[in-house]
Amino acid sequence: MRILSETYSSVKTMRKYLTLAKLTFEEYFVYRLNFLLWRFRSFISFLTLLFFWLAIYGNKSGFLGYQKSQMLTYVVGIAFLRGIVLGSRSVDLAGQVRSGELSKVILAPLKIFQFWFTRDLVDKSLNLIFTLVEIALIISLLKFPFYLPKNWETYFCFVVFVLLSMFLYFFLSFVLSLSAFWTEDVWAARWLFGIIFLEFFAGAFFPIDVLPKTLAGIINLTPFPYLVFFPLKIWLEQITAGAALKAMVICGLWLLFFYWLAKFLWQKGIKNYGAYGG
Amino acid sequence: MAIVQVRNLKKYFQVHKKEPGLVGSIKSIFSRKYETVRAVDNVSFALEEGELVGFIGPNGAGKTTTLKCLSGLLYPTSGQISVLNHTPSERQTKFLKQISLIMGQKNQLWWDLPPIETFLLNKEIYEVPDEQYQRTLNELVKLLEVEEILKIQVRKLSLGQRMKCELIAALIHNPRVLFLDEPTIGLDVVMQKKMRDFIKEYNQRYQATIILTSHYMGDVKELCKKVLIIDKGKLVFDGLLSEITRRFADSKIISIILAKEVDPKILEAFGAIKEFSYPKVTFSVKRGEVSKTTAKILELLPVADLNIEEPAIEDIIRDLFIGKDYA
Amino acid sequence: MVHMVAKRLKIWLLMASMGAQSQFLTWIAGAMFLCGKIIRFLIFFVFLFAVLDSTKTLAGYSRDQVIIFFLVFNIIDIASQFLFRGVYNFRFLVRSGDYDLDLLKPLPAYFRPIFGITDILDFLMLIPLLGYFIWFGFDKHFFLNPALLILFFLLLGNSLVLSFALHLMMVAVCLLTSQIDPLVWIYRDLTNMARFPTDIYTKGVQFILTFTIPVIILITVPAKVLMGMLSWQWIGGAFLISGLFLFGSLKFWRYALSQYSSASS
Repeated sequence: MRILSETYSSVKTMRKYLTLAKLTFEEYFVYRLNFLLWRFRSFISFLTLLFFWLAIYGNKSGFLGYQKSQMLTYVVGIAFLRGIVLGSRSVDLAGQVRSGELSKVILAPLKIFQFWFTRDLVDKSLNLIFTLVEIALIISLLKFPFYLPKNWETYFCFVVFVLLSMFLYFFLSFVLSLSAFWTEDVWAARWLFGIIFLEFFAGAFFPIDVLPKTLAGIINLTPFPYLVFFPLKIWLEQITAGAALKAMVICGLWLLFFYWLAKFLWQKGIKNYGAYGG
Repeated sequence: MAIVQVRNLKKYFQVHKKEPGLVGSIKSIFSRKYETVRAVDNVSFALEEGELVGFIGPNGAGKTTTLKCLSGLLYPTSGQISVLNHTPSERQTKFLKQISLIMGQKNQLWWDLPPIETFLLNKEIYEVPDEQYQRTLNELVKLLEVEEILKIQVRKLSLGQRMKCELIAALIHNPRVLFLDEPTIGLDVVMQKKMRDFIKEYNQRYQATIILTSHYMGDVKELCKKVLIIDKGKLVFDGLLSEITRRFADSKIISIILAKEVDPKILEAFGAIKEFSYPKVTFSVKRGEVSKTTAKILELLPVADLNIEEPAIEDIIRDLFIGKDYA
Repeated sequence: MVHMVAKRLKIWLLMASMGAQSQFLTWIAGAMFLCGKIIRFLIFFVFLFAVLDSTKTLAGYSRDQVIIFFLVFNIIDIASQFLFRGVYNFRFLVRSGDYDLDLLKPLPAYFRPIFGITDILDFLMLIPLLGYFIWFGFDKHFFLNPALLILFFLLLGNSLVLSFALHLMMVAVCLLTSQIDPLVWIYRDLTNMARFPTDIYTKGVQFILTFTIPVIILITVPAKVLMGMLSWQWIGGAFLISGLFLFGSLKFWRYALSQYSSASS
């Protein structure tokens, strides 16, 4: 929090990052085909999952501990959170390290975390807009029962948790990208951890507790479920207040861990950086 | 029977012009302005087997385009091409097995593997019999002095070594006709010489017909007796290199070494001064007046040494294309 | 004719082995990819088992049947990726101009773009997968009818031909526009939809999946045939559509090639 206020308090610094945000946004317009393609793909996977669960439920109303409306809401939630939490441009960092472009960034009066976070924010905002449109479209077309939490505390908890997840993902992804300092095969590592592990273990395909208990238990030891699964459990009010609090604390701990790791690896990596690249 | 026969070759490209900016982009969706670029405009020539021919001309003259048409990469807009009795653009297997195109910056060696692996692959693709493959490989390897590096990964080789291996990969099937596009581009002086020596040797040993395009006069002077000059898509000269000097150079170069300092204004009276850095002076003098001018110089100037030369080919060709970009 | 096929097969094997050698050099990346693919397969597998154990019915199919759909999907998907991986590298080949050198080799022009890269890791995954599939099939009594079995394998081959035709079209588009990634990803996403029995989708979606990129013909048809669920019209239609796509893609490819050969720099 301190970092945020430090950075964004001064108006001049604010302007710097606003300009950065504006440029990032313009970039999207240039690469709009890529962005639209990304949205299309997200939409397709959203639909596929939706149809799958609709078919599974058929006429049943409850299954595997989820009401039909809850499961469908979960799927919608996945679509929503993918854009907000998992939307990110910091994957580009790895590319910048390998190509040597990073020199440009570190020589500019910009702080590296804030730089990337600003870009990520733009990505998330764009995703948010599109996702909301898609979700609204689907909900109205298919006319299905969307689950809305009954207590106002739930909304509050949800928002807080999502913020935590956003930062957790940011630093996690950052750490993955930093492997570019030491290896050429960043994309393999990113793919394995950033896509495969992430999508399944975060609950971004199906709720974790659908899996057998032992497997779910192991997965819950990783930081991934805190990105999508737990926030959605809170929304669906399927989790006690105590458990929710516990989850938030653990999420926060993971966040601090990855923040520290990112900072540490960044400093180590940047020392060696001048050696090659550019 | 000429091995390469080109008749009225035309290659036109349709290029569309887009105006800059967002407005231009939107406009171009609705109406596109096309311009016809006449890369090759009615070119005809013929080559015999075993000739080593150079295509020269300014940038954008149409050399590479012509070469690509001859090899079959590009379809001509009109005209006839016959190479080895085939129409190149049909790319028949029999034709492809007898030709090779080598382009300066393009690679076919697999990056992570030793060059020998790509050689073996090409052997299979071109269906080269084992014995012939071994023989050709040994000969080429010896010529290019690469015995030591055949089993080293391509990525670890220097540019020069890589180029040599690219050559072997392109020649492992003993093509009868070789198309070389800017073969010495990007190489240092030593490598350029080695490349030229190799091409000359290859032409003599295998009687392969070689057509090369180049920016560097050095390539052409050393390798080609016969030269085709292309400018703006048209063939402006087809004949021996020595003829260019005779036909187009209407002046000769007289260069002297002065024994004493002389006022430059006085020097100007003898002829057009090409270069003056004491003690060396270079004059450009019309052919008919060489004897007279030489006599005058010897009589009136303190000359320590005198030399009469043909103008450099570069200069002749450059003068032929006054104002163009030519290295 | 036989000689030509034999020669191309030999060259393909040679290129595949060269590709494998290249991969050994970056084996960590390869291992990570293999790991990831295995994990993805296993997680879905466990998921299906966990979910379907309780329902025992997805759009009217029993758990075992859904598993068959899933396995057939994976077999065809992995086999396609194994054989036609060249498309992922094609854009680079065209952009750098190295493709011109391939055009002048006595090989079909589409050889390198499609078959140029063969990923041995996919092959490594395919073997145990096939093994498990065969075991599963016998265990759950799916392979009782030899006629159906033969038909199934014929349709598998048909799917590969269709997949080839689709990849050829993508490669042709790349030749014309230098863009290929969007197409490949759309293709992958749509085929991924056939992970589950396509009957779960609305009729509209199924229509799209039959008549644009014929995913249903590609994956669902062989699976259904194995389980004896398809009429002769569908089977005949599957072969017909593959044939049409193959014919169309070859024509389109030739067109793209001629455009490229007219306009290349």
